[in-house]
Amino acid sequence: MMQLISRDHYGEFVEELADMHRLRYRVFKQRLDWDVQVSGDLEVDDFDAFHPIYLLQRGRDGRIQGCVRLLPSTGPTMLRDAFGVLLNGESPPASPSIWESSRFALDVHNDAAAAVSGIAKATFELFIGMVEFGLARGLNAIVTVTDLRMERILRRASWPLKRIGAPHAIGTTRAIAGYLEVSRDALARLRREGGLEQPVLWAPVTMATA
Amino acid sequence: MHRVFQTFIDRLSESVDRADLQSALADAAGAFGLHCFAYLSLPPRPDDKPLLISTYPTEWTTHYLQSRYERLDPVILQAQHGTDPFEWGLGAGAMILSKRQQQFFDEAAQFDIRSGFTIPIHDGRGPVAAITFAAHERHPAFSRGVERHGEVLQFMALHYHAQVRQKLSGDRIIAGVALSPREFDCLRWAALGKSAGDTADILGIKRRTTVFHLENAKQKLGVRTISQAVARYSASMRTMP
Repeated sequence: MMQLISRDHYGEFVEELADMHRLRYRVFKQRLDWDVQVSGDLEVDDFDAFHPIYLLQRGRDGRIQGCVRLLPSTGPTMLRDAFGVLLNGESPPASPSIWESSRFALDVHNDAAAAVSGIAKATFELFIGMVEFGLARGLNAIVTVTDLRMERILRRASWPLKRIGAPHAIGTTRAIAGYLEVSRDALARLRREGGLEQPVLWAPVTMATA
Repeated sequence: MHRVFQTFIDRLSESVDRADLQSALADAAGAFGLHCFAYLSLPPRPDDKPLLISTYPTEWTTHYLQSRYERLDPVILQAQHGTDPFEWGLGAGAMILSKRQQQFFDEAAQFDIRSGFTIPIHDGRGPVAAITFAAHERHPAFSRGVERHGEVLQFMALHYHAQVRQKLSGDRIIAGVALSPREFDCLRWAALGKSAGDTADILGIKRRTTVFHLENAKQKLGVRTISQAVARYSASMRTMP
């Protein structure tokens, strides 16, 4: 199950957000040892200050085991402000039809359910959640900076990255920027590959009362 | 608690200067029973001054900065050594202090600063900032506040640091004039033909805040109209690689 948390609901879901930052710490600091900002067991960076939309993925045990951060390309994004080198000379996308995803993290148990392609079902849920989000917002693409390993996973999952430029070494990884298709076709392909036929993404429909 | 955090997020996004940033955290901390705080951001170059946003007595903070106490403050030193939050002061376990450091603590005690809870913030290169919530003594309400809300406070601290970095540092230079990131953003959208209302929507802030940033930008650039400011902006963009 995927949950959408937008800025107006940060207060109501503060514990979930803290769990998400803990997950990000485990993945980006402990596992990948990236140059990230931490305190205790939390990872938070400058782009969290721009009130992103967060998508959180929960395992069967209710634990938050996956997350992704989404920012409109019309505002500050990692590609525009931090990783311009990956644009290959092009201007960064700045359109209401394109959002940027970042801090994509998954920390599933080894025995988690996998679809035929050997990719965890949870991974598909996260991808499908992103496409459902995009369709609901009328987007035609999600732009992202990712690494070569994730690019291979995206291809195997049948949601291939359309590259903007060549890979560049950034820190200890080989990073690449590109577009992910947002369309009904892409959704159908991911659902088929992932064996997930129902909508995965849920969001609160009311605001907390004053 | 959730309302406190939501209000904190909203207040931070509307903050335009130090005073706003200070009261945003002061109010949130106050709601948790913590009445004194200090945010210290370590300068990138060791000789530069740190950035301090605080509700400690001004006489103390002025003295602290003038004496360059961030270099010997045992709390700051401990925050530099690890990323885990910690309590310090009366009843929190002894620190081994040099004579100079003991003197420093005695001076702080004169301003009723005797114990606290500190949240260190590090990035890939090392320590960058610390937020301390202080108390006059190990008052039960303080300890309860910390125990109950320690996790959220940690999360708020990191979020606060990210916001302070956005609002108070990282100037953008146009024609030799330093604009703040927000002033620059508002001008950039004006240059694309957006009205103040449109820009406000895009940036997720109130219209009057956008107008405020544009007024500041005009004043800094020494011009009277937005068109003139946009002309300066466009001219400087052409010279950037």
